[in-house]
Amino acid sequence: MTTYDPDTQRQLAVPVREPAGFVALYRRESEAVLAFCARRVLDPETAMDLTAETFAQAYRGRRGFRGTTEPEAKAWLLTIARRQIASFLKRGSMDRRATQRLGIQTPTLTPDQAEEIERRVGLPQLRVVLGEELARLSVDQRDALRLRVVEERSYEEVARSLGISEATARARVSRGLRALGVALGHTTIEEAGL
Amino acid sequence: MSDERRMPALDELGAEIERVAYADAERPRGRRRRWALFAVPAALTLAGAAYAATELLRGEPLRNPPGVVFRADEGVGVPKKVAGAVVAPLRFADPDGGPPWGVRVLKTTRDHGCIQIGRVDEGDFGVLGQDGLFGNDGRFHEWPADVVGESSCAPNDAAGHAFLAMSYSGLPASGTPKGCTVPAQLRSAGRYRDRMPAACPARDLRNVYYGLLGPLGKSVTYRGDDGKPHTVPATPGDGAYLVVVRPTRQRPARGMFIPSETPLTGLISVQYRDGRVCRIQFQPRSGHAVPCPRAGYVPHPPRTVPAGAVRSAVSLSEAPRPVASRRLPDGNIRSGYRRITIRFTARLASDSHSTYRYDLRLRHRPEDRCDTVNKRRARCQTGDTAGTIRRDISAGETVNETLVVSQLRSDPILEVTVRYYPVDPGLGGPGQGFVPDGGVLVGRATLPLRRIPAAERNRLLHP
Repeated sequence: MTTYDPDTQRQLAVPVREPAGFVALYRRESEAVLAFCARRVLDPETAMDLTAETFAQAYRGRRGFRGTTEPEAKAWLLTIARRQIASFLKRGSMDRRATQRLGIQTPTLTPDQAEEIERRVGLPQLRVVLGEELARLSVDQRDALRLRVVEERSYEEVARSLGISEATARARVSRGLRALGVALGHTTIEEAGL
Repeated sequence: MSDERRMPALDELGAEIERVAYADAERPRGRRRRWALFAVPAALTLAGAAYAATELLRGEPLRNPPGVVFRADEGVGVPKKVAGAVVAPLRFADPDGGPPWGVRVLKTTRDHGCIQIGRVDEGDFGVLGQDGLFGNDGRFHEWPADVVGESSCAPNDAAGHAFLAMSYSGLPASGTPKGCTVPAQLRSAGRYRDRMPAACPARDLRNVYYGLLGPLGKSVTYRGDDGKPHTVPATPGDGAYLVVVRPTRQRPARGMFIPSETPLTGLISVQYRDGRVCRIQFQPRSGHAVPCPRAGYVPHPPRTVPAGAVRSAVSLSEAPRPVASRRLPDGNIRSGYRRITIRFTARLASDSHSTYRYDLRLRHRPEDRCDTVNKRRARCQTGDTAGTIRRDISAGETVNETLVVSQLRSDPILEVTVRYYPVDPGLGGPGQGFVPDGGVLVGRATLPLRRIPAAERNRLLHP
C-alpha cells in the first residue's frame, strides 16, 4: 500500500474527473479504503462491499471534487467510506445504490482471499484489543458483540442465543460498535500502520 | 501491506472501476456538443454553454401513463425493492454516438425476470429527448425502475433465472418506440395513419437484439454495420446481452419486435460457458429459425393436480348495459361493447407459475342451420379466443373476471371453459398469449347472447 507524508502534498497528476485520474486514484488508495472499512466492520466481505460502494459513489460524484492533491483525494474517499460505514452500522444493511447504478460487480471473496484481507489488515490483533475493550461495555452490548464479532455468528443466531428480536440484536451490536469506535478513536490510519 | 502483492479481489474490483470509467469516456465528444446545441438556449452565458458541452442536460423522468398502475400481485408484478433493478454492466455504442445503449435487468415480485433497453448516462438508465419524445428537447430523461410498462419479461426458472430474447426491428435511437412511427408501419396503416405519431427519421432507426441467456450464456456473435462478424460478451449470472446495429436492406426496420425464449434472429451464433455454440439457423421451408437451447434452465418441480381437484361451478352473466360509446379520433362513434363476467371458486391457489385460463367460443345456434357455406353469413357468428387471469389467487377465492365483447352480428351462444394450469407457463408469463400444456378442467358454462338492435342499443347507452 502507498503511504504518504501529509507535508508532501503531492499534486494529482491527472484530475480524478478524468478516467485515467480516477483509475489511478483507485490503484493508489483502494487498499487503504479496504483496510479502513475492514478495521471498522471487522468483516472482509462487508469491507469489500463498502469499498466498492465507496468508489462507486466517488465516481458518481467525481465532478464535485475540488481538491488538487493526493491527500485531499484520499481524505475525500475516506469521508465517503466513513459515511458508508456509519450508515451500515446504523441500519445493519448495505447501501449498494451506486454500484448497482453503475453496474459494478463486487467480487465475491474466496475463503483464502478473506483470510488474506484479515491478515493484512490485522483483524486478529484488532479482535484481541476489542476483546479487552468489550469488557468495559454493558453486559447486553457485550454479549451481543461477543456473539456477532468474536464468534462471528449471524444476527439471527445472535438474536436466538440472547432471546431477543433480530432488530434488537442489530441495535445492540450497532450501539456496542459505536461505543467501541469511541473507545478506539485514537487509533488512526497512520498509527495502525495503514 | 505495502510490501506485498496487490490483493486479487481488489484487482477484480479495479477492473470493474476501469471498465465503467473508460466506457463513459468512450462517448464521442462531437455528438455531445451536438446535444448541447439542441439543449442550451442561446441566452445562456458562455460559461454555461461550456459546461453543457461536456454534460448531457437532464429532463423530467419517464412516467407510467396516467391511470396505469402496476401491482405486486398482478401481471409481471413490480420490481423488488432490494436489488430489484440493476443496470447491467453492458454498453453498446450507438452508430451516431451519444450516450451508449444499455440494459436494465429487473427481478419482480411475481418471480419474473425482465429486461429493459435504453440509453445510459453517468450510470443512469433512461431515454433521449429525440425522435418525437419529450418534444425533442435533446435532454437525457431518467427511466425509473418502477416504470415497467416497456419491459420484456419471462418467468424465472427454479434457479431464479429468466430466459428471454428480443429482436427489435426499427427501434428509434431515443431508446423507446413511443415518440415516432417507423415508416414501414405508416405505409401499412391506411386510414389510421393520421392517428399515429409522425415518421421516425430513417437515420435514427436501429435494430436491437437483447435478452437473457441464463447462467451459461457467454457471448453472442452478430454481423456488424461493417458486414463482419463481431462477438460481444454476455454478463455473468443472468447472461444479459445487447447488440445495436443500423437497419439494412437485408434487415430492414419494420417497427416490430419478436420475443422468444432464446435468440432466433438477428444474431449469427450464441456461445455458452460450457463450450457449446448455437448457430442461428433458418429452416428454408418454413422460414423459421431453429431455436437455441435454454442452457442451464432448471425446470420447476412438476406438480400433479388430480382431475376433479379444482372442479367448481362456472357461471356467466352479462351486465345490463353495454359499455358507453367512445368517439374515435377519426370521428366515428363506437358503442355497444358487452361486459360478460365469468365467476367461479378457485379451489387451488395460483401464482406466477400456475394460472387459471379461460377459453371462449362463440357458436351459432342449431336452429340457424349454418353449414360450411352459409357460415359466412351474418347470422352464423363463430369465433374462438382465450385469456388468462394474470394475478395471484388464493385457494377458496371467488373469482370474478369481466371481459368486454364487441358488438355481435348475430345471436350466438357463448361457451366458456376454465382450466387450471399447475405448470410454468413459459415465455411472457401467464396470459401473454402462450398456451401451456397440462390444463386441468375447472368447469364449463354457456350463455346465449342476443344481438342488440341499434335503436335499443342507443336507448341503453343514452337513457
